[in-house]
Amino acid sequence: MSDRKSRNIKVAMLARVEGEGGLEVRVRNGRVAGVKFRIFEPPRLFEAFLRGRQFTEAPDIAARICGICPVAYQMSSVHAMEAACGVTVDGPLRELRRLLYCGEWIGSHVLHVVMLHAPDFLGYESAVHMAKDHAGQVTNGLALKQTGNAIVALLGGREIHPINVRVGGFYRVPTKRELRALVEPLERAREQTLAMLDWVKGFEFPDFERDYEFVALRHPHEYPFNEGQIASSLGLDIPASEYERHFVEEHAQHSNALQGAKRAPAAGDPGAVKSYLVGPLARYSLNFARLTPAAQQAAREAGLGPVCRNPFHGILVRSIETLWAVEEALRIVAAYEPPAAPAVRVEPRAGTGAGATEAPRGLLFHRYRIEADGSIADAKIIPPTSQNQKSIEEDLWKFIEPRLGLDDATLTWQCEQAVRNYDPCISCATHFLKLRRVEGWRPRRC
Amino acid sequence: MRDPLPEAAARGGLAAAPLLIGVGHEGRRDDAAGVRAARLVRALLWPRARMVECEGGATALLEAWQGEPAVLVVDAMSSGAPAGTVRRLDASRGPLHAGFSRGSTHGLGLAEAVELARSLGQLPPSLVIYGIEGADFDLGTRLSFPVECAVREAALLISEELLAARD
Repeated sequence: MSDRKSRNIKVAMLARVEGEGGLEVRVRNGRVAGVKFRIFEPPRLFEAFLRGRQFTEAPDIAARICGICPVAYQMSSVHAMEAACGVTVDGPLRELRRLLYCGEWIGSHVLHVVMLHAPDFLGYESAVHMAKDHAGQVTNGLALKQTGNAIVALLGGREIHPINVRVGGFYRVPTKRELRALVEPLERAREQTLAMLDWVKGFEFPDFERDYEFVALRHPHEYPFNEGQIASSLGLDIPASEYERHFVEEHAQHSNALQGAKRAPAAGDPGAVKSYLVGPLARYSLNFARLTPAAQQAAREAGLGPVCRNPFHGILVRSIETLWAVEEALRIVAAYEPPAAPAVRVEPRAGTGAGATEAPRGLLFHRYRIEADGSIADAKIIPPTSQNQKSIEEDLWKFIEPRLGLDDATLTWQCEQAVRNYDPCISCATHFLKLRRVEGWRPRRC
Repeated sequence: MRDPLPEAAARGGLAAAPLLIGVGHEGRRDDAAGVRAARLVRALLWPRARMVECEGGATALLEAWQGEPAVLVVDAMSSGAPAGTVRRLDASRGPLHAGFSRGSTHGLGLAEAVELARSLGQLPPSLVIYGIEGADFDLGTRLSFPVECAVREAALLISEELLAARD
């Protein structure tokens, strides 16, 4: 045990997260004096790349933001564009979009549960070290992930950065026979998910809860993917088009990613903001009743109630959501009738459209303004990791203080684990463009 | 008249030759060296070489070489050697250096894929790695000059090795 009153805990480069970020915690006189979740991956400027391009190009350009959740970027962009153009996609095309999202959730969640987060709970430096002692579980996880990838490859044309999604639907839709080929691997995946869940529910979880404001999509009948109101545990219930009235992005000096915050005007401080939480815990807690009976049962057997406020239980919730995604995929495959056309016609018109869908890591907001000729005049993309940065820092403030007696190595380990609860995707988060206007400047002519 | 376009197998196919996996990210300059070299091999040996491309994630690599008896991987590396250095390594003999981890998602790259496969008993019986030392891994699509040259050198070496394994 350590009795030092002041110390700094610094993780120069966080391992097992996507992208480049670090962590700094300052302790003074036995109290936490500062927490910085540092994101130093360079800005990637995707919103600027989109300007001037045709509205039909957005899904393919936005998909390049992330190799783990490209489907989420495609889904949010097509829904925003369809909203701008006054088009609704339903029937089998809507179902195929949900199936594609199932594939991405399965792949992304299993990667995080087995390869990235489980080593934290079991005391291994990495999945490679863990695999020596838990080969069966790692093999099981890899097979499960492969089923998710197979869905994305079938509907998206390839596993990473799929190319078959378009505004209005798809370029090509699968035949019934092609979809039926997924049934057997999905049936196996159900058993593999239950085995994964059996494994993770035996982990030891730190006793830690926070009173988050959960924010996620909520649909009257479905566990949410592409549709629904943006809801919060404190009563917010808005369409995606109103997102920017309630949420803002701020620049923090230590982060190359803008930090999301919810407006919380108070007397004397009309500009006040607060943190909120998006992601599996929020989705689960706002939509427990919409899970399948088997997923609800599995959650109860894992010791979860209908609301989950312990971020370390994220690994359990991701496993439950994986089970739900496998069952949802089976439902869609069984009911599939190919649509008359692979896409509905979408004609551009001048206007603005917003779309919010549920990426594996949480709510992903897109808003585009397009001109009458279909060119993109303005784009705004707010990924889940951007929105969760404040919450990550607040988790650490509250988590660390009662544990200051731990030695540096143990405390550092637990802090990293607390960050990895969020499965942060730093590459996604560093999307912003900060424009500095210099009056009177003219480009030089060659 | 002889068939002007005989089947690959009839010309001494490469069905029994190792699967070639080109690894790299095309938006990260020299990181694309492995993919570019593999494409060159495919062009040189068209249509006989079996080749797949992979951005380098460990799980994708494990899937790509699953069940293959012999695999040849070509990837960029960052080992501290002079830019453009081409190295041939036998992965069955021991761990790869960390220079093969760079640029991968979640820090799980080729080096981790090899060790993971070793732990899980999924390492192909023959796994040869060609590494091309990169110099510039920033955003962009153009290879640095020494790496551009090394891609051709590696492609020739790999082609010779694949042809030596002809049926």
